[in-house]
Amino acid sequence: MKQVLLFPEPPHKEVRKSHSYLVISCGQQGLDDTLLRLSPDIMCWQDHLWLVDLTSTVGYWQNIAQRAQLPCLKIWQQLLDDSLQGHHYCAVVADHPWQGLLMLSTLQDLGNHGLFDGQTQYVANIFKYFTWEHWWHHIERYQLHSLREKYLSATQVAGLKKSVSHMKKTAQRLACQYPYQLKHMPSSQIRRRFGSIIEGLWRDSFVEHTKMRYSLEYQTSFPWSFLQKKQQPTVKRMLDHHMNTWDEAEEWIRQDLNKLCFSPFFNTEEHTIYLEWRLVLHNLYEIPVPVFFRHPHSLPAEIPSQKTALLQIKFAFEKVLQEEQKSYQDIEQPMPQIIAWSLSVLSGIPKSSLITSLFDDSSENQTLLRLENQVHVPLKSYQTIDHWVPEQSFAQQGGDTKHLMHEQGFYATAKQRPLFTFRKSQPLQHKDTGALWVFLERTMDQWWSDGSDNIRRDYYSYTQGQRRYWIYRDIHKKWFIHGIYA
Amino acid sequence: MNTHFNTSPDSPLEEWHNEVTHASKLSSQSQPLMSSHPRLNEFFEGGLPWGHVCEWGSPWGSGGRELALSFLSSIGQSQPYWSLWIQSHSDVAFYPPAWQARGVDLDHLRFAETQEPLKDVKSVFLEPFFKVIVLDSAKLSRDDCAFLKRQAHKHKQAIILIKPYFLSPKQGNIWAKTRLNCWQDHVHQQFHLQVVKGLSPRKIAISC
Repeated sequence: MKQVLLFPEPPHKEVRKSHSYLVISCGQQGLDDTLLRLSPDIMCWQDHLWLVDLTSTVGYWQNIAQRAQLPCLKIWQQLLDDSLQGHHYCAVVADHPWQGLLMLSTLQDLGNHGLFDGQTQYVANIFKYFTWEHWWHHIERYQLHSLREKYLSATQVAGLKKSVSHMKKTAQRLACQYPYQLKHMPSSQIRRRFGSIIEGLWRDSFVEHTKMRYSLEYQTSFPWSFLQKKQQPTVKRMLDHHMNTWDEAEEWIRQDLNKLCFSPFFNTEEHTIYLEWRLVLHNLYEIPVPVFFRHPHSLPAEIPSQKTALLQIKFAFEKVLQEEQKSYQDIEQPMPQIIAWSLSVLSGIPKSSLITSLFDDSSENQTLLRLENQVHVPLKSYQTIDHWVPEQSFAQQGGDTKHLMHEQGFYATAKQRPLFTFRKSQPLQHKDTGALWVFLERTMDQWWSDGSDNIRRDYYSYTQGQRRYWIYRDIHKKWFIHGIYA
Repeated sequence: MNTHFNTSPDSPLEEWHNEVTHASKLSSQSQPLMSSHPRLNEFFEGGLPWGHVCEWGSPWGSGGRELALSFLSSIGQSQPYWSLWIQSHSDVAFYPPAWQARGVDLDHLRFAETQEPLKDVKSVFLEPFFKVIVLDSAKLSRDDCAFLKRQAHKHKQAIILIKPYFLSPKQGNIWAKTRLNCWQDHVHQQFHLQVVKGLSPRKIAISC
């Protein structure tokens, strides 16, 4: 029996970047136009096979899905079905593009059509049977793209070819029918035998990226070669006098945002998702200030005030400034002042007719989206899930939650539970014998499923003086405070 | 009432009809914010008035927030309104199923977690979108309280400040129209409310 899992600590930083990739195969001409409606970052991997990096737009799509009360996958499927009328396509959404490529090849081998979620049991089952031919074929394409994009040097690619040859022999010698059989090999062994590049691809194929993707630091390594390399609208400014505070910069930024809207490269049909304000310091170091909007934002709609963009830039600037000042303090130097900057739109999304047809674009919704774009911390909304384990009984809205709370029985359970839970478990050290104890419920996880941690908790209401807590005893008879009746 | 008037768009009757519609909106706006608990409405002489700040003293664990929550419940409301609960206690997180089980409409409630609400979510106070805003355990200066009072009055919002301690009549927030202490008697399963300021001195015990 394992230790009881406690309430998971949510990430302290807001998740602005969630990594999702769509891999699609379709013979229709003009597929790129359809895919550009999903994300500006698309790449042609080979003839009729495209990759879509949804990282910059996934927040937007989650919002659309939430408002349409559908999973994101359904929205994407509807968009693809409408755009590719009559044409067969096969697509999969995966946590990593490399994994998606292998999944798609296997799905196609089995004659599947449509859009698949890479996290479903069906895809997980057939993924075990992707063949060596798929593996070698995609490695070959990987080499080509890496060379073209200078992701790998010619020497590295030559080394990779040798490793592939060595791997082919090893697979034959071991009579290894499918690459999946190597899944449980330690990564150090893969690296020692076949080099770091193969090890990286092996890891991208098998390691669960779901946990990693909730990290701001996590970057997907891949030889991306995005189709749209249009010139980004940029405004540059050389300052007459040096500055270091937001109050001094605000008015200039406002002017630059307005100028940006009239740039010849600015697409008025697009809503902005990601801006970059790149500061140049007196010592000529450049500091990028990334500015993400929670929802696609129309810069021209806010000429001349640019209230929303200014607020988000201010929050991002204050955060970066704090970090920079700290690093300069560490070396006992004053931070150099800003002498110039450039402001660029790095990512946007076109307004699609399909999107607006899915829900009513009421002014109330628009106001809420605008407010959410103007605040520093997210305004979260939650939905409940029909699950009895407290940690799994709710989810933040916008995700692909499949089971909404239907069962009245769960309401009765939830009514006995407190409004607030502790982020971290608090071991109950000293039990007051004079306190009031009331048994509430016994909770177990899905012990019959493979991934069960064999959780069992006995929950009590524990009143100590004026305070009432929600505590439980785990299977090892240890006591924890889980929540508080506030 | 608006369908049986057979008039031209510019007729005086149509203008009158529009005025009536607006007046009805105004009258509904002037109704106080009702709690889902009838005895609580009686205690507040009808409900919490719009356009004011109400301050609740309720230490963590004392159960007072359960009663404050009844003002976010959609039960008995003619129209759903948007509410925002801003929480400044860094150690605790929301448990939404319990909120829903107590009658709160999660679709019209937003949650925010910040130590500096007037800096991080200032925009929400500058617009009348959220009709009820709860600031739970936020540290606010006098200027902040004055700002909240101004905005509540301007936008006809109900702003509830929950303090993690019992309020004293000796000193306190002059910008709050009503100040009261709230706690739960866990043994007898009763909520207790005691007015500190704003209403005639009174105390009530409500069964859970």
